Amino acid sequence: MYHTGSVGDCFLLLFEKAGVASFSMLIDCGGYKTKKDLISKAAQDIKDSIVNNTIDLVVITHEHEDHLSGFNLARTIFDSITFKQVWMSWAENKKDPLAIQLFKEKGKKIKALRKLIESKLASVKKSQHSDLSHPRLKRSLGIRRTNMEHALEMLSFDDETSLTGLAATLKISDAILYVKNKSKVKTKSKMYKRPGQVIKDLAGAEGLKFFMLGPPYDTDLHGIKNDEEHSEMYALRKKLGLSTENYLLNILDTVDNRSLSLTSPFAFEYHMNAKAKKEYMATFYNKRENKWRQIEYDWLDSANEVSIALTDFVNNTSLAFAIELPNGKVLLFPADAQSGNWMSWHDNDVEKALKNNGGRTAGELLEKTIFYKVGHHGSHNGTAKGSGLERMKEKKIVAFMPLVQDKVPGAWGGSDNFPAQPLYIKIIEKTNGAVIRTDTGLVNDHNASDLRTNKYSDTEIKKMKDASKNPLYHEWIVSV
Amino acid sequence: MFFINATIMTEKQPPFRKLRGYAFDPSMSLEIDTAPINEILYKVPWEKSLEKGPEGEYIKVLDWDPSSGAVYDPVDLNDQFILANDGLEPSESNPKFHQQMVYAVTMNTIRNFEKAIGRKVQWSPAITEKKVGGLRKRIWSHVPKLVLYPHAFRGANAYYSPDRKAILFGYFNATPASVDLHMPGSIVYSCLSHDIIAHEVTHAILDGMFSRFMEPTHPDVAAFHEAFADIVALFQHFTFPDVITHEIARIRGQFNAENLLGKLAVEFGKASGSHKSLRDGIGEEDKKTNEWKRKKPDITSYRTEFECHDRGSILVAAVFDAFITIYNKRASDVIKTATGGTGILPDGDLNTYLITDLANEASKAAAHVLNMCIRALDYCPPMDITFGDYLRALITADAELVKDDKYNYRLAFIDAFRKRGIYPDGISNLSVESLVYSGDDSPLMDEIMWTGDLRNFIENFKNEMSYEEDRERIFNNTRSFITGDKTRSELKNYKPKIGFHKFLVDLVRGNYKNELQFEKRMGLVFSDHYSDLDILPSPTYRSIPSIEVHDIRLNNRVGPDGNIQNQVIIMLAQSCGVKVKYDEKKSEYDIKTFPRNKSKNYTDGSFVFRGGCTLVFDLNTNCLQHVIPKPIVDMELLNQRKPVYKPNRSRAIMQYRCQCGDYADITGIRAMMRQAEYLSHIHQPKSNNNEQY
Repeated sequence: MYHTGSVGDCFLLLFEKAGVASFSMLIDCGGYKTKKDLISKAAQDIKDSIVNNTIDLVVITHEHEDHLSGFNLARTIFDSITFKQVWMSWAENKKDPLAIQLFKEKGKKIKALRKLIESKLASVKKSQHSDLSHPRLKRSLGIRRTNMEHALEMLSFDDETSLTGLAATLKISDAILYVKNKSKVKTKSKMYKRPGQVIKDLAGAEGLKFFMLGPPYDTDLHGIKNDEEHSEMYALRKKLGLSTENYLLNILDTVDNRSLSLTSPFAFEYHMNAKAKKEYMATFYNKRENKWRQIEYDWLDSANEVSIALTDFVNNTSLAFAIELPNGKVLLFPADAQSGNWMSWHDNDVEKALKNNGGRTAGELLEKTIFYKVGHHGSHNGTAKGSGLERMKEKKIVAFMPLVQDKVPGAWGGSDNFPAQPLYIKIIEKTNGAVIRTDTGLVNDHNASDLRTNKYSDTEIKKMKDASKNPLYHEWIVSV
Repeated sequence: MFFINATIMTEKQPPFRKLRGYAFDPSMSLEIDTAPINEILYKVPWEKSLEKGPEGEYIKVLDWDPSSGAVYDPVDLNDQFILANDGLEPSESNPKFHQQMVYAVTMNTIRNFEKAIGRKVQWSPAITEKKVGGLRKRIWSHVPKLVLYPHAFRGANAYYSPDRKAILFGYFNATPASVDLHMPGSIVYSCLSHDIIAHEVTHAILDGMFSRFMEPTHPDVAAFHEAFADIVALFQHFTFPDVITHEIARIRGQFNAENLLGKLAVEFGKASGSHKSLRDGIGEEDKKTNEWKRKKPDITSYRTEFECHDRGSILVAAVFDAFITIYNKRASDVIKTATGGTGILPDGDLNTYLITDLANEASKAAAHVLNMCIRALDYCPPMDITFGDYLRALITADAELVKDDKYNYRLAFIDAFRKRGIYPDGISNLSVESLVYSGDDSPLMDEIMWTGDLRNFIENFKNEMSYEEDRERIFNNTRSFITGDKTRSELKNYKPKIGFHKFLVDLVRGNYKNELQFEKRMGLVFSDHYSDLDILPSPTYRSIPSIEVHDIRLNNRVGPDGNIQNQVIIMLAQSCGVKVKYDEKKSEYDIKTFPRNKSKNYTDGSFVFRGGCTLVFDLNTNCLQHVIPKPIVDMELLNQRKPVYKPNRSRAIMQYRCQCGDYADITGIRAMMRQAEYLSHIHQPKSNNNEQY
């Protein structure tokens, strides 16, 4: 697990047979608003760690900056590396009808919301500067402004129009394209993965089985849209204010682009015409002395929530997979999968396919998990409860949490929400303290060290501590 | 309250305007059982100059829908067709009816308040800042009308905005937990729910009386705001005769069965993903069987529930419990008469006479309880209210107005609070005598009350305010009694008014020179020791401590025995800056004071710390009848033989814990303080962490 300078995922897996490197695998390489020099260090180390400047398998889990920006920022280094094969989820296949539907729907909503917020943000700024002698109103305008700015940040994180830092000219979609083009294997069916598929006997990785768990491929996109199933969560996100995000989200596609407003529920005969409206509003609402009583921005108070919900779509398109080792133990990489994705692993047809193709169901894989890459940086809905953590039965599990807490952007809910405390405590309990975080290394909070001393030997604890010897990465060795 | 205008008219003005509306919300009109009672006639006081909107003396309904960019035509309730039909017909698709509904319920709620408190309802003043000679000055001005926006935003919410003196109602597409509960995708309007309107208006009225209750200094404060708004909405159900008869018949006079009277916002709850109403005052669903059952009082809940709505529901349940006790007592006589003394009701439906009698008892008891709850507000401290304070206020108000408690109302309340583990601080037992706030009958106070100045001041106030009906003049006159008034000095025989502020300081410091005695009674600092607490000097009078006179009110009521109450209520407040540090290792709090800067927002364990007290002067007996203190100073240290002046430790720690410490998250106060709107805070479900463990 590499430190990419910010919150982000970058995992390099190196397999050896009898002391000889046999297979290399890179899962994502990104950091949220990270710097070129920081992430280049990681990329350089990857290059130095592989044989013949070749990575056998590169996995791109989903289309987010914190997972992919390295392929733009450190491109000069990656240029000199060969990618033998590349995997990504079906959602990245621009020809897949379901993917087309998903991104069209999302793109439309994002566009609409952006426009709405941008126009309102401009007038909030204006009101802030005009003479407002109401001290309390200044406060609420300030909050509304931050809220809108966070929403825009969130949307641009997801939208393809911008990427910060030195690679500002490159979009996240460029990173995907770049990786796709680098792949030596171009066959579509080999690149895009669907749940239920099991890949065995890759050259150099004989004996390893790769089980594809998510994202769910269902025609109504139900699983992908389900980002927060409360029964599957250990914690609820600390939300500010209104529970309006779903309602606004549902109707976002009714936004009229010219007037930037939504469709009114009332028949037209009840509406005032433009002239009457202007006159009527001038008698009170728009009068200078009554400006402080206006309600122009309240309906966008949920903008940040809506934009988070919109990006959760993409998190749920994460390619989630498990690797079964020859001894039956499992390494689990759910990327940023959220409730709906986790739950779909146990759907009947997925379960059947996994069993047929690889001899294991998702439940059985979870039972044997000994290495868990914590989902979505430890967020409240990134690790499922009944469909996930509770099914892990191994006595000695190690969890790697790709989190740099003080770099969590305010737009995501800030460091208050990462890691989600109740979930964090559960993971520490489950692993008996064997949790290694990007920023802190082996964790010591919530009695983690007491738990470790009780369950692990001194040598095992030393191994955990040694895992973070190098400031650039945390390392874990599993011997079979 | 309606007062006949003295001008001569050819035809008498009608006392009421009748307006059709929902007793609950539109969903009840779709159920066979409740459809016949859901449409009722609201009788609201006739407003002579009611304009399109509707816009009257108290409120302005403004139907601007910013998310749709539309203004909906305002309804003209004076239109002859509309008048002849008792208003527009209830309809979800006609926004004009929505406006009418909002107007009717709001005015009905205001009328209930005015009946109980015996004076006009005022909205909280608008505070603006102006720079005068380099100094920032705050100006308080009267807000004549609350603005109501029936279609303000899209969302399952509605809130009162204290910054804008407005209520914003949302509307949303239903996302029910199951399709038989509510049609998915259909639109739900919060402005069509009686309960939601009454709840939000009550927030606004409460804010008009106690603007400091918006400051979350104790887990109880925000909870009280929510609970009180729920109580008013709930007990208003009992003012609808058809509804109450229907429900009493259904539950056969026994409140142990599920009923609509104790529920709030049914449609809203079902449409936004829950299986039930938003809140239920008396019952709850059994988690296993999903069946309704009467809630049992839980002695620990007051110590374990912190989220403001959950905590508020404890208070609502206590009040409702007291109501049921009172009703049962009243009803048992009726039932005994009807059953030849056995008290055992026959099977099947009850006969209509009995139902009418029982319904009468229920609505009488409910009206009394609602009145008690509203009247108690006059006996609350000006800030930092706790449920215990409110119990004391309830008992004080009632003991004073109703000398003979023949139905044991007061005991019913004390019992209901006791069962929930709510005890006021600083009293030795839960008897009526110890709960009633004491006054000051010391020889010194006696002397003050009889020597003229204070008595003159209070009498002047009473004389000037007694017959004043104009709300703006009431506001401005009260302000002039607070701050003094030199503006009309050109008038003949006009004596400039001395403001109460100056008056009080002169009284305490000048004439009687016994600051300590006042300090011990009121918990505020009058002496030069104010600098010990970093209380700022008064900007007007320099070198004396700054004291804020929050409000002066006249209390003029007639009790059931015909006794007339004649009181003037004065609320005082003082503030200083406090910084609290918590030492985790020693689990100790360290408290320091600093001179506060009014225009600064504090973080990091520093905050504005307030104390205050409510003084109730009785004009009949000419004494300071009750003192209701919220001390800014530490009373224990003050009462030592050699008094020491320190900020009130337990209150300062509690405020720190609520705003910055261990209570900030579980109460929801941290989130609340970061929101643009304090009261837009919806009920936050607890994390379901422990459900499966």
